[in-house]
Amino acid sequence: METNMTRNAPRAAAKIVTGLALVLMATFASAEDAAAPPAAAAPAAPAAPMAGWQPAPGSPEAKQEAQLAPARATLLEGKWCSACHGYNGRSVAPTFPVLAGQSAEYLATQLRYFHNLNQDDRAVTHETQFDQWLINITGWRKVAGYRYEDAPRNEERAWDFMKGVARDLDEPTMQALAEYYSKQTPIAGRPAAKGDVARGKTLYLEGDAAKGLLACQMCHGPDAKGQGPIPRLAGQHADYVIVQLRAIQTGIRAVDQMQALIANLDEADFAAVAAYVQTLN
Amino acid sequence: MTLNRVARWLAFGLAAGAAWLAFSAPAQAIPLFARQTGHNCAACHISFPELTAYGREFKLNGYTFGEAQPLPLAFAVMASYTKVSDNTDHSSGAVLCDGCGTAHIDQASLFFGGKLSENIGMFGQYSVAHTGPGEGAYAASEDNTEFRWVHRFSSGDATLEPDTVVGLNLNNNLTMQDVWNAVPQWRYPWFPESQGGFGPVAAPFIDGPDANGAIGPQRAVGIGAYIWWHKTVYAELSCYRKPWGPFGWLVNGAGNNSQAVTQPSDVIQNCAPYYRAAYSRDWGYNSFEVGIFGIHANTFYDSAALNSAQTQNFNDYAIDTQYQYNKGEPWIFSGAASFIHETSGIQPLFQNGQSSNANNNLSEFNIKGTAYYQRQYGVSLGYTSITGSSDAILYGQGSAGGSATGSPASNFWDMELNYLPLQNLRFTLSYTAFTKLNGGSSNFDGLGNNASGQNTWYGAIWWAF
Repeated sequence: METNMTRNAPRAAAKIVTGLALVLMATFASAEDAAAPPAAAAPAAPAAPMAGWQPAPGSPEAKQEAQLAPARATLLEGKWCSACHGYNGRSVAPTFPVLAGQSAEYLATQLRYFHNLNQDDRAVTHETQFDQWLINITGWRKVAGYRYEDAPRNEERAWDFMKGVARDLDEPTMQALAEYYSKQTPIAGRPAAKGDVARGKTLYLEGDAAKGLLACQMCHGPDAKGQGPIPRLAGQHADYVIVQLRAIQTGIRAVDQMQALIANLDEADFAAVAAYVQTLN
Repeated sequence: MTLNRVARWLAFGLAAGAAWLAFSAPAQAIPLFARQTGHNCAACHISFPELTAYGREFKLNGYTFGEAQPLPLAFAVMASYTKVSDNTDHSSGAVLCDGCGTAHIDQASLFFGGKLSENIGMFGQYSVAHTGPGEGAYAASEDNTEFRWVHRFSSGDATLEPDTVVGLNLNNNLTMQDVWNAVPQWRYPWFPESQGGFGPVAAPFIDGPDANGAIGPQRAVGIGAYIWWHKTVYAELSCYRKPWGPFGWLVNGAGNNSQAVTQPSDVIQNCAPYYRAAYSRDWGYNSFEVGIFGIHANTFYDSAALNSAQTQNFNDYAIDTQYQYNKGEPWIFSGAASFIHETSGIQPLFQNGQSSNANNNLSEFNIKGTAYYQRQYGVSLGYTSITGSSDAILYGQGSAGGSATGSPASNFWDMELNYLPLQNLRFTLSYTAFTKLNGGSSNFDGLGNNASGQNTWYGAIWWAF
């Protein structure tokens, strides 16, 4: 599937060019946003329609949209995504999670979450009058910059990078991206630099009754492959897992099902379970 | 005087405004690329202008990530205070740096461009800046500016994502197109303007204007092609030449500078080839780079007549390396070093009695380390060493600030403290300490000036919006 997508990209791009006028017209017709890309800058590659724009179900535009999305996804990951997440979602730096083989439903949910951060009033509460004035006279897009002390420390990366990346993505593109990455070959398990793997294995497979932790495998699966909305953990960067566990424990990243379960875990526990999942294939 | 007063009030206003911003509310609107990508500054910068691995990707992909902006502009203002340790020229008893000891606006810049299409991007900067570190005149000019065209493709298996970027670039400053912070244009110290007293008389051609005949920034137009393969190998070949026709606007003034014929010229003859190759490797939070670069330039002795019979040549060979640990929770560390060796043939200068030798050589070594805590508090330390063949006439023997021995040897340290209350607002305090200047430490010019007397404090506020 992804092979065809890549191979067909030039042809798809040609289709896109012909279809672009239609899409753009539909876009501009419904665009309230001053920041719509000027027609002159319309690229040969597909521009994502404005957020919020949805073709009527069954309409020619909807069909076109369904055809465009996979090609658009291919083009997108060839640029932005791979800059951090590596080629085919196999990231190198633990700052950025491995996406290859991740659950599609989970990826789409996360992308929607990042996308919606841009609409979230809480993300732009610190707009000053000067900023409002600038935005009004220039039509500049809002950038939810933050004061350092306001930044949810453990979610800095999501704010620094993903909020912007997902800002201009539409629903079909997000779904196509999620599909694409879910089909890539995951990174093989590898030892972690720190953390007691044996302890991690126990925590993962059996939990820790004394600390109120149910076995992680109950949701994430015995092989940590995840499913549906539950993310795959096998082969994920241990450091990334630790940062997420911290964020969930402190409520910065809202995962209600997990927060109570890991409430009593400490840093050593985090490191142990993160080290264990990184070793899994 | 009126201008001075205006500048002083402006500086005061800026400082007050910056302080108000720092302690009341943060700015939302941050510069051009941030608006285009929706990223925060920290995505691409360890601190301006030092790039992260992602920042390098963004630049090498031609600034084409994100959405083109309807009004692609951003602004930056820098105000500073400079204090020279011994602000007296002991050869004459005159004040050395007239404007030092007062705060003033250094530079105001307009940034423009960004993403122009899916394949074309631009970094444009137009600045109004001080002509010197004192309260001199202000001059407006085209600052660092470049255009890029990029194409991405998959170098191997068709199932692989595009893993190779090829690009063309057009720029107006040697090494400004580079993405590692070890090359002259982007290496530490970030504020080379900080020097108020006498400084080194020599610098390699590739590193800006000096008595040795180097071209200044924005004095030549470079056109080149590059490839960035697998986030691992970078190779570039460019040609720098004097500006012509449609590219005249890229340089200061009309392109051919108006320096007197008695000075080494900065007009390049034909095309000066510039090459660059680098190997980069990322693992964990670490990034490492090692590379080479160099230029071979012939310049006209007479910048007005452009007489081909009278040219000088400069051959610069350089190696560089960089390391970054960019975890950011809470620490970021980075280090960079470069070594540039130059051989020059300056026959016309020699024949006209403007140098003691027909051939010279010069070496420049630069190393720095930086640590940032929570991306908010930073400290940097750098060391630069210049050595080379002695040339009594070229290096100003007998004139104030020149070299009594004819040696260009200089050693100095740069220390810098940074505080960034907001990502786009930076307070800097730096100190430059000379342990050797132009061949000596005490009385280096034979006219009573000491190297340590040129040590300089520099405080600056930098604000971008």
